[in-house]
Amino acid sequence: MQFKKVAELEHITQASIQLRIAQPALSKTIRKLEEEFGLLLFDRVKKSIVLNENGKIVYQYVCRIEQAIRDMRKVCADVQDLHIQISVLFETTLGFFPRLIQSFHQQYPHIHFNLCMAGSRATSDNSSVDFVLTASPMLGKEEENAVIIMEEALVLAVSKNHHLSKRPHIALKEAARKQFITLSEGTQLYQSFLSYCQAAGFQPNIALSCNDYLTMEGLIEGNFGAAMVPEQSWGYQNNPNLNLIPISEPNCRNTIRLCWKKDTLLSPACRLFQEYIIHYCRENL
Amino acid sequence: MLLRNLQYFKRVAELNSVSQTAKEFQVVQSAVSNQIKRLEMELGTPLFKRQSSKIFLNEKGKAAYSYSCEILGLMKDLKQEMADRTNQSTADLTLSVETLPIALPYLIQDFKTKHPEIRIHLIQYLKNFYFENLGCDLLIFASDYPLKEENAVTIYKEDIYLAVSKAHPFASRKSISLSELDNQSFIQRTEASGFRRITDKFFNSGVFQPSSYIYCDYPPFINELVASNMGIAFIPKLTWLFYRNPDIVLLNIENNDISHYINLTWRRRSYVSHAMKQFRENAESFFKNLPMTQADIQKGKITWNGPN
Repeated sequence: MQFKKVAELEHITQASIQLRIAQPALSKTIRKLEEEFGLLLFDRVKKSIVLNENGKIVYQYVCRIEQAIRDMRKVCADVQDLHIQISVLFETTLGFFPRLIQSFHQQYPHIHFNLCMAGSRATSDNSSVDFVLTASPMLGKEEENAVIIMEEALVLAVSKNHHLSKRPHIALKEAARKQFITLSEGTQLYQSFLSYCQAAGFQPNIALSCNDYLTMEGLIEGNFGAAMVPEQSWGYQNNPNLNLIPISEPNCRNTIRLCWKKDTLLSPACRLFQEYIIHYCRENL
Repeated sequence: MLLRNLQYFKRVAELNSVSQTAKEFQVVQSAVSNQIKRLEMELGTPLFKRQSSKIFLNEKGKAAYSYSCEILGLMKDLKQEMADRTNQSTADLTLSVETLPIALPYLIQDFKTKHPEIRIHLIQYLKNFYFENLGCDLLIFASDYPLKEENAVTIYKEDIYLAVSKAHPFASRKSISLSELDNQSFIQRTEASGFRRITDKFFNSGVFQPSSYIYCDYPPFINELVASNMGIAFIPKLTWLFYRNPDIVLLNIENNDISHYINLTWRRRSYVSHAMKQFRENAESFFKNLPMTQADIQKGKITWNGPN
């Protein structure tokens, strides 16, 4: 766009040379644009021109529009090496996520993902993260926007051989003397577990703690203890060696949110993904 | 890439029809289809698939649609922001309204009195109106939960009452519990009504079973039906405030945490113009200043009839 070149160079003659058009024609284009908006976009000082406040705003819009046009071309082009990347930070685990990514990727093969788990080294630089999937409460996160993508119960997972395994449901306090397996201290699930035990009036006996949900699944299978886990999002319901016992009391809930930073621009690729995940969770969960 | 290109493309995608789009833009059909072809060539991919007489976006087309909305939205915002900066004496505001059937004229009057320089265009009763249409600045809609988002805010939490006729045995009561409503005749909203979602929460609570229903969506009719003791109805506060009927008594619903929320929303990440800001502020103070408490309703001491 001609305006953009002039704004960058702040020099009509040089801009006209680079754009390969006659200088009077370029001056006329700029004047026409100013007339259209009813505002001056440049301050004319002696013989030079300087972008003013209005011009700076127009310039920002022009850049955003050009970026969107470039992105649109990329998404539509059949060229493999053009990367449009979405970064997602996981503060919680979603067992169905790989499937979701797979079906998204089939539709939009040019959009690539960068998935990282909270706690891993790559997450120290949060500025590059587009989305965070979290189970933590929204409190104190005013700077973020969020949508709830799923809500589910927390249940008690035990091995088929555990002697609670035949129970149709259980009040948490009935398990007060049992050994427990938890995620490591500092995770959201660990916090929730402790506070639910507190509500049920006991201090849990934590026999083992570990860092990820697959290890935990193995430990529960090995009958090292019982664990409070999300009913669906970890996919434990598909493991025939485990029994998931609903907790009748207290009411233990797990809410998973998709968060993104306020006041930053979500790229159109991110918006596609955002709409996709919300839609996917409504349809499939 | 031309603006016109994208405008045609976007409308064809929304209407699933080249001929409808041509009609809307008042151009010949080939003008639209040529522009679409040109865009497809420029992007190097077909964007539509044809099925019988209609055409639909393919996957690439869906992505291109999302970008087109973004680009056209930016163009609109640019014009709006520049217009705000010229300090013109007039401004335009387009409102789409899905709720507030009775209070709306008062809200608009109140706003117009304070901001006569802003021209208002109202779009009513367009269900599923998307901001991507870019034809409107603000949307007023109702929900059964409060909203506070980047591009949406609840401006009024509206209480819900049970309306009964003066001749009804409940008329002497101040409040009522849902379990007492067993075997009553109800005036109920139809499936098309947004308020129905909320009243369904009462009807699905399982604590009472109505004996019969009359279905009606038009608030003045509902009030008339209640007044003549054809049935009782759940009604939102504003419907009552702006359309009172001396033959109706309102009862509080005991232990009720169900409310109706009136919200404002705007296109995500759009530029918020002065007119939009002023409308939001004005609407918030309009609702805050409604001289209406539960006690006022009970005593029938309301004398307010809209602004001044």
